[in-house]
Amino acid sequence: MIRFLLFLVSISNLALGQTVDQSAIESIKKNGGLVLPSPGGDNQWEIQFQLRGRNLNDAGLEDVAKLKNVIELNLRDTKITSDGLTHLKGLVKLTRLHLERTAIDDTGIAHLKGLTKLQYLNLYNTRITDKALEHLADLKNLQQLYLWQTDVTDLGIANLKKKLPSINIVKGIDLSTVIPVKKDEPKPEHNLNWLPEGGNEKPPEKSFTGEFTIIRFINKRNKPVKLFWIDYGGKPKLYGMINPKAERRQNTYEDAVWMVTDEKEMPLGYFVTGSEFARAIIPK
Amino acid sequence: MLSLQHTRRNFLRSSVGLAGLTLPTFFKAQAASNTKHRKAKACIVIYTWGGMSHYESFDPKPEALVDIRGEFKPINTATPGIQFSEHIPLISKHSNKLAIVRSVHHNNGAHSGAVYLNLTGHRPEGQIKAKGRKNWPSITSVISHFHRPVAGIPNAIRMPYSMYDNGRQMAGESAGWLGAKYDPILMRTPAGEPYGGVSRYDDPALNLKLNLDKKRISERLTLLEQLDHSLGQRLGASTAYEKLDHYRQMAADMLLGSPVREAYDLEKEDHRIRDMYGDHIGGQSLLLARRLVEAGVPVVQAVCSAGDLAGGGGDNWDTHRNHFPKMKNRLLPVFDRAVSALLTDLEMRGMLDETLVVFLTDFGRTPKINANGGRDHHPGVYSLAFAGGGINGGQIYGASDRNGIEPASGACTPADIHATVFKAMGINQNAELHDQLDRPFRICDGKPLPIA
Repeated sequence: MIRFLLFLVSISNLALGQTVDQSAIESIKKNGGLVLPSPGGDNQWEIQFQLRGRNLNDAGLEDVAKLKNVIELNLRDTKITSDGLTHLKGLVKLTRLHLERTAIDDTGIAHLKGLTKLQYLNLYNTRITDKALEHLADLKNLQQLYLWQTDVTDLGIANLKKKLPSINIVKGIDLSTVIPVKKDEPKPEHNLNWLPEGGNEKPPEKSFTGEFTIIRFINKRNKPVKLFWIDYGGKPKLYGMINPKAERRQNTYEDAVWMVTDEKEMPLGYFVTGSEFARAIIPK
Repeated sequence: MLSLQHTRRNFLRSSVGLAGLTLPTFFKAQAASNTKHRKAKACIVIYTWGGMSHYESFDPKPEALVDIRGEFKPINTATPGIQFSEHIPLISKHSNKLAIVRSVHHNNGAHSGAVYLNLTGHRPEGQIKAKGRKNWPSITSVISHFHRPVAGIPNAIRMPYSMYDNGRQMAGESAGWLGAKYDPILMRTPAGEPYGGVSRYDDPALNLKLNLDKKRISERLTLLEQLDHSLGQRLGASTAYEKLDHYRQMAADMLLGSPVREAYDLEKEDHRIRDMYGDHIGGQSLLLARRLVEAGVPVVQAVCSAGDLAGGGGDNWDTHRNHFPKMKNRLLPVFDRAVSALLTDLEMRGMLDETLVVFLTDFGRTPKINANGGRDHHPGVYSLAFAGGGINGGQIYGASDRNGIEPASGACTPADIHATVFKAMGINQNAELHDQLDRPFRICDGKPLPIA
């Protein structure tokens, strides 16, 4: 009989627990949180606020605290502060916690001391310092710690590694050391021959296909010119206008024929491309 | 019999759910596989279009004769015993994150067949067409079927353009029989110096204007909802309507303040991070890939070369001519910088252990250097790579023979590569998916490589 009563009590506890869970889950969802079943156990949760729940504040974390079986929690980009982290104290099953890109500081990290199952902790782009790391020294399961864009020093990291020898700490790179790629666009070193309209040397009647190359048209005339590509069938195709004294960088292929005309499309002359990057100077 | 009270969208969802694995079975399957490694939640596919030479990237052959080994030297990587070719010095520093497979092979020497094989994991049958609904789905589509994004986030995105060979669009990049809902959305990378050569931007999906003002959009949405209501009752869940619905939904979601819209705006990124990836469409595409994954897109594909092979002209990996200067000056520097930046970035943001990065290409290049100083198509053996979630870095799987002609050990196929991807993402590679006519297909014929 007693056993039966105990059975009833446990059932009602379970039911009560589930109601609490259900209403907490509803509130979390209302705040834009995503609640996913965590693989590997019933009633275990992974909760994400970083996509649609970025307005989450400290008060909103109370709902999360009501769910005891939170395994993963992502608070990236939310409006939580150090004070809010006090709500995480009871989430002792947490294995992964994302706090990156939030306003938390060292005082908040003190609230994580009891989360001994924690394996992954992401703190990049927060205001934490070496002091925060001291609070983590007893988290024996901590394997991955992310500290890029924080005020943590190499000394602080070394001290934590003494306590947690197998931890992998990622400090990231110092962005001030990033050197932009120098644009070493191949300099056009030689000039294509200008074949004037009506001159002795005639251009081929059409373009042929070849390797990719780049030419730079330079208009030395005092008037705009029009640029035509003579296609594989011998037909001119308008590519654009080049203003007086202006330049145009043109992707093309070797053995292509380019025709330059005046504004009225009367031919002035031609260029035939080679395999190398080159200048195509349109004379005065 | 479905109740008429069901909304059309619910109907779609439930029919898809019944056809494929439902979410609970997926999690059960994941829990049952007793692996110590964490599975990836998102995937970035880096495709080196045209066929990247294994000799000049991940499988240098310094012992071979000079007309085979080519002009480049091997360099040491961060992992003792592993050497790469000399013009990927930055990637070499990340070898501890990379699992290199040097023994992939297939027997299709044409770009069209090879890209299909590598993206779908299945052999092309008969004439394959770019938008064919009989095609096998792209790996991106299959992944997005199992890793559903939250509401308002596209299933899968690919960029910066489709793959073409002399004007012909390749099959294998779309969802095929899985249906338009799973077609990856094509996006144009909004910044960076373009690859030299021909790239085609004629897909209507690229014309999405991301800066339309929100008020007009929401007005239009109200109209569309009414339309949705009446059309939905008349047409039910016809495929054509599903497609319309999918694109409309996707466009609307992106326009209405989805995290994806923010991710697309590369101007919001720290300029030093942008510099790290390189001011090139290759680098900026991988940066965008990271931002999209961060915004909740489950799978992103980036093509790292010009979009159209155009007979071997331009910056693509189809290096039939002037192979060495092109690799050294145009292709490898962009690839090296972009890929190493991506790995650095994912790692320092704590994203690498949940993001699988997989490198695919058509095939390798021939051992003999041809009369034009190029290497031709060689599906007999080539190299691919993995990094990130579900993968153990710092290892080589398989080997090619002394001259890089065929596998010497660990011979594997694109299907095995796909099985490996699925395993790393916690997807059962033996799962069955159903086509639009409800016929079942097992998603993958391969076996996962033991690299996790």
